[in-house]
Amino acid sequence: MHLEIFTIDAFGPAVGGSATAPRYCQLGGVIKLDTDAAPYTAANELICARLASMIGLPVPPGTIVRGDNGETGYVSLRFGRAGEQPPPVIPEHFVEDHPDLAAGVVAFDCWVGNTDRHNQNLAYSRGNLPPVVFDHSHALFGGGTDTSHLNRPEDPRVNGSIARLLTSDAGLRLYAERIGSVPQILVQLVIRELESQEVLSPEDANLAGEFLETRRGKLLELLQSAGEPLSAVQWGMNL
Amino acid sequence: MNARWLIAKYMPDLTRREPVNVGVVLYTDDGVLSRFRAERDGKIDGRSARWAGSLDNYKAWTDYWSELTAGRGAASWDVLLHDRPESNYVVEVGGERLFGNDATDPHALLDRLYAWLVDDEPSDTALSAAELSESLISGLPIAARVQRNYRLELPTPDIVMFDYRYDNGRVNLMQSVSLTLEGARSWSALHAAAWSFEQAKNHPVDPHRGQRAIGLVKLRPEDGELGRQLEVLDEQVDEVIDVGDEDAAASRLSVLLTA
Repeated sequence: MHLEIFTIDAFGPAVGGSATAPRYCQLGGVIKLDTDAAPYTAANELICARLASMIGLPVPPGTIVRGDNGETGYVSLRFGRAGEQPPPVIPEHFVEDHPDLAAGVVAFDCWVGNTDRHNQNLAYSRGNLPPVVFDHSHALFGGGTDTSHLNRPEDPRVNGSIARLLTSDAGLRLYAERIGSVPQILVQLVIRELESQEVLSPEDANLAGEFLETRRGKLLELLQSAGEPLSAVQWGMNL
Repeated sequence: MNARWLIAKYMPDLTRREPVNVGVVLYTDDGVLSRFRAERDGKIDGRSARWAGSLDNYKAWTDYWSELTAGRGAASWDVLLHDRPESNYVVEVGGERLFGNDATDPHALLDRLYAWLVDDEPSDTALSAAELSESLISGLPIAARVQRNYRLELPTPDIVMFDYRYDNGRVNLMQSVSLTLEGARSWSALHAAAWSFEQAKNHPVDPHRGQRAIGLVKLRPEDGELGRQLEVLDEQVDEVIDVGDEDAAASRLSVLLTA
C-alpha cells in the first residue's frame, strides 16, 4: 500500500524536553462540516476513512473537529504534491495499472454503501502521482437526511466508472475476503467512539453497525448480484 | 476552418488567485492540438518548470489534459470546461475564430497562440519555415546579394518560383519547405517543393554554370513519415538544411554559399 507523504505548512516551537525533540507544527487539511441538509458528513467520512485504512486502501487520514459554534466537521489531511489538488483520475489508467486496488475500491464502496464514486474522488496519474481514494461524504448514511437505505443491507449499491471497467473477479474476491476478515469489534469501536462523542445518536450508531456487519459477512454475494455495473466481470466458481 | 481554444492556467496560491497562463488547447476542424509550458517532444522538461509548486502535479495535469483531448477529441471541450474541480490548475475559454476558405495551418496557429498567450518570449517554434528562412538568410554576410522570389521560366508556359537565388560561381536556388504538419498537408508541401526542384534540375538556370538546390526545411518530431519525406526531398536537392536549428543552419549555409 502506498504511504502518502504530507507537507508541513509551518514548524512551531519545541514541545518540552525529549530525546526526539518534538515540535509543534501545522499541516494543511480539507474540512467538511455537518449541515442541516447533510448531517452525517463527518460520521460518513470518519467511519469510511478508518475502515478503508483497515483493509489497506490509500485514504488520507483525518479526524473529527468542532467548529467555533460547536458544529461538527471532519478534517482530512490535504494530500497532493505541494498541497495542490491532482487532476481527476482517468479510470482506464487506474484499472490497467492497479487492477486489484481498483477492485478494492469497488468492494469497499459496496461495503459502505457508497454510490458516489466518480473521477473526481479518486486521484491517480500514471507515472506522476500514486493512487488516493477520498471523499466519502455520501457513503453509509448518505449525503442527505434519508437513511432508509440502511434498512436494506441486501441492496448491492454498486456504481461508478471504475466498476464498469473491471473484467476479473480476482481483486474483488481478494478484497471481499479482506473485508470479511476485519474483526467486527474494530468496526464497532469506530462507530461507538462517534456515539460517545455525540457525533452519532445511539439509534444511528446501531443502524450503521448492523448495516456494515451484515454486508461485511456477504460482500462477495452482494458484488455478484450487482448486475450491470459489474457485468463485464468474469466470475469464477465460489469455492 | 473553425478554430476555438482553451487556455490552461495555473494559480500557485488559491487565496491570492493570480493565474498564469501555462498552455493552449486548440480545437479545429482537423482535430485537437495542445501545447504547454516546459513541454519538449511531448514531455514536460522539469528544468523549465521550476515555477510549478510541484513538478509531478504539473505533469499530472498536462497528462490529464493531453489524454482527455486525445481520447475524446472535440467532445473533450465540454468535459474540460464543466468537469473541473476547484484547483490550482484550470482551463478557461480563450477564444474562437473563423478562418473562412483560407488554408490555415493548425500547428502554426497553435504556435502563434502559444507565443501570444503563454510565452514570455517568442521561440523558434512560433515562426514559420518561411520566417525562419528569411531570418537565416538575412543574417548572412552575403544577404544583400541574395535575390528573393526568383522566377525560373520554363520552356513550357510554366514558371517555377524559388524563395532565394544566390550566385557565387554557381547558381544556388533555395526554397523553404514546411514539414511541420502530419499527413496530407506536409506531403503536399513536400511534393510542391520537390517538383520545383526537379524542374530546375531539368531546366538549369545557366547550363554553363553549376547549379545547387537547397531545401530550407522546418521539421516536426519524427512520426514515421518524416524520414520518408526527407528521402523524397533528398532526391531532388543537393542539401537539406533544418532552419529550426538556427545556429547549425547559419553555419552550414555560410559554408555552402561562400565556397
